[in-house]
Amino acid sequence: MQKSRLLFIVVSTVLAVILFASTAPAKREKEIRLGFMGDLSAPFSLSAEAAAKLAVEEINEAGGILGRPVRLFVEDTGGEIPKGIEVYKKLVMHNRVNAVIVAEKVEMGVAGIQIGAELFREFPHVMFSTIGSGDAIWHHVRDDYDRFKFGFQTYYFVSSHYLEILGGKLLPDFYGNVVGAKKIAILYEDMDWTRPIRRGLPGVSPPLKEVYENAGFEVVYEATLSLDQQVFSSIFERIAQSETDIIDCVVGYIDQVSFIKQWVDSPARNIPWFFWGGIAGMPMAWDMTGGAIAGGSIGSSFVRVPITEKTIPFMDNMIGKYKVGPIFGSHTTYDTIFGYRKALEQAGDLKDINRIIKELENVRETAVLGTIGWDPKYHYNIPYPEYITPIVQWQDGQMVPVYPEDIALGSFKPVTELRK
Amino acid sequence: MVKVELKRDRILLRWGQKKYEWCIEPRYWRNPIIGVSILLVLPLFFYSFPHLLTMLTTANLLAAISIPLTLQILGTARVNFGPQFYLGIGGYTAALLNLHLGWNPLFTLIGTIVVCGSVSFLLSPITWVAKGLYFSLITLILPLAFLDLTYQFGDIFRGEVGLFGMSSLLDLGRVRWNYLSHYYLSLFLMLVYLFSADKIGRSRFGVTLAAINENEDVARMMGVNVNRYKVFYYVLPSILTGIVGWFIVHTFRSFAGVTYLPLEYMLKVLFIVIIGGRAFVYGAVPGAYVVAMLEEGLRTFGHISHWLFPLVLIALIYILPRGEGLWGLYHKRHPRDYFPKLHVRRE
Repeated sequence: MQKSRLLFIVVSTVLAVILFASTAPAKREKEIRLGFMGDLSAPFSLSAEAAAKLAVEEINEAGGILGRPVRLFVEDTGGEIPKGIEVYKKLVMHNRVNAVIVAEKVEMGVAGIQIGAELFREFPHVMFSTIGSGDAIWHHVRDDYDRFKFGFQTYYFVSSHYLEILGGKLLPDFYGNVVGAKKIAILYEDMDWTRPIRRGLPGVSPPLKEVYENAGFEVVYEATLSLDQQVFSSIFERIAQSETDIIDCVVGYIDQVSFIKQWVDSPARNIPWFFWGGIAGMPMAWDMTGGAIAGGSIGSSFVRVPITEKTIPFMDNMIGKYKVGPIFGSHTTYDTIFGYRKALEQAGDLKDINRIIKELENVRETAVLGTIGWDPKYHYNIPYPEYITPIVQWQDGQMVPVYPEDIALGSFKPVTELRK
Repeated sequence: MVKVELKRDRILLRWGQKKYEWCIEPRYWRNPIIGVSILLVLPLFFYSFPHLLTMLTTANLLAAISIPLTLQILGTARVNFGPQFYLGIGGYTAALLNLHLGWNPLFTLIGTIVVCGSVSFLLSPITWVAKGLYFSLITLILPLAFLDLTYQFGDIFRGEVGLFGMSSLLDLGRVRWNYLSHYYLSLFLMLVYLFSADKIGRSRFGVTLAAINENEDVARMMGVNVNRYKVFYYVLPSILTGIVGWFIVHTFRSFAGVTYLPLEYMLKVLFIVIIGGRAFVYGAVPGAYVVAMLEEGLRTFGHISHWLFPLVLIALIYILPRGEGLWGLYHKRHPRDYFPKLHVRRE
């Protein structure tokens, strides 16, 4: 076959596939449509996708929403903003979804809320960002409510909560009363979400260092790590010299495996660390670090602790039905869909988008990690103690919840004891 | 007094010592006109599919990045592995000027041209001092270093979040019309680049382009000021790429370096150049459209598309005539069509 003819066939086939895939069946009036977009090459989006499918399946089994079946449209952004914008338009303008779930990093959430605002007037819908952290998304709502009121953010903490709740209450309690620390070394990763934590929020909170000092701790070392940093040995040497009792790591995206492997061979090897989030909070971290992670602590929602009656069934169903572990973003995606269901039920129908938004602002629903609901003014989800992320410590290959006390399944142990 | 002469294949206009000519023989203009006409009517079929319209807009923009890159490869006889560096500079310049100084898109365009021109002019000596692998490595590092800067100077560039909320290039009141206008604007931008590159290819400048590409030393011996031309062919495509960044800022209205500066984006652009035909600026158009459509088409296969897409691209490189890509295929079937052709050194 001639190469040109072969090429013609390939191009024609691709065009046919594109058009076929784009021709969605006519919307059935009774159907409630949810759009899901994520980077389906990334574990967090894949986990969130499974959580969204699970939520829709459970809702449909229970009779749908307002007696209508729910249909989920899944789209892959490939992690690229231009593709994400394309996909958002497809979901809203072509598939005519009632809500879009952006289960991807913050830059996609920002692109989503921007494009959503363009579409909202002609194509009323709501948008949920269920993985994007930081403040960029809810700041849109704060700064221009009328334009961005359709946007909601479901994530564990926003900056003010990081400073006031996690840094201001939970960690001082954990470090002081559970770990027994008096001196703290703080490591930040150089990302947008840590900036308010490093510098403070004017009128809201001083920087994390001052927050800890106000709580009676001595901050003996502070450093910022580059996102692509692979060598941490000099950092560990300085930390060891500082004679700190705990390494507070405000990180989620650095190379945590390299960090841990170098920590265990460094002079700071007996000083425990706490990661605010990331891969160290997933079960495979033990194997990935060859057990070097023993003694480390992290905020992780991947533990079998019955925070509510939904927690354990959710984890079992994720693994049993979809063979996917519930990592960060899956809980928030699952809980968001149930929160949306309740808001729709309270609104009574789908006709008035403003009514639905008002209901979302006031809704409270039992969730996997506590209670889901959104701040009526700023649209971030309500934080701890409503929404909980347990602090776990790696002990003998297991993540053992050690804080808060009411859900703890074990006690915090010194690193030296766990290495024996 | 203007004197008009009708020749067999062209119309000549003479005015004093000056001469202008237009080719009228169909083989000079028929197929380009058909090609442009297809691109002009294409949105009418996709009006009800706004996401596909956006895909076509993206294809135009990818072509608009690839055309200057091809020109640069030809004019400097070096392969730039970081064309997206100037996309980032242009995009961030436009976004920052718009957000912080309130400049409208016209002024941000001027700012983008000035900044991209200045930065590329300052960096242009790398075309003198480095060639081959060294040049490719230097250009490969530039966007990655810039990406690091967007994190380190997060107050300015907002790291992984990027900049958002920039003013729109055009607002026609309805979203479908806006998306249609984005397509036509991107098409206009791409065609301006294509015809400018075509003009350069047909001019005396094009001869120097070919001479430099063939052999720099011989070109020098022929009296070509090689260094000056290399600066020109480094700076001009850089400005053109920067303008694409400006366009993205004012149409997508969010710009994050983390999307445009990493290697993945560069690879896509290089694939377009190779699949389109690395010696042909015209090849960038079918190259960009094929890559964009492939990406969209394979997305329907779900998770496997992430490895299927690069595999298909590699297969295309293998299937298509080596180095001549899609345009080479076309040219083989239409050998009498006249398009300026510049040979690329193979060594």
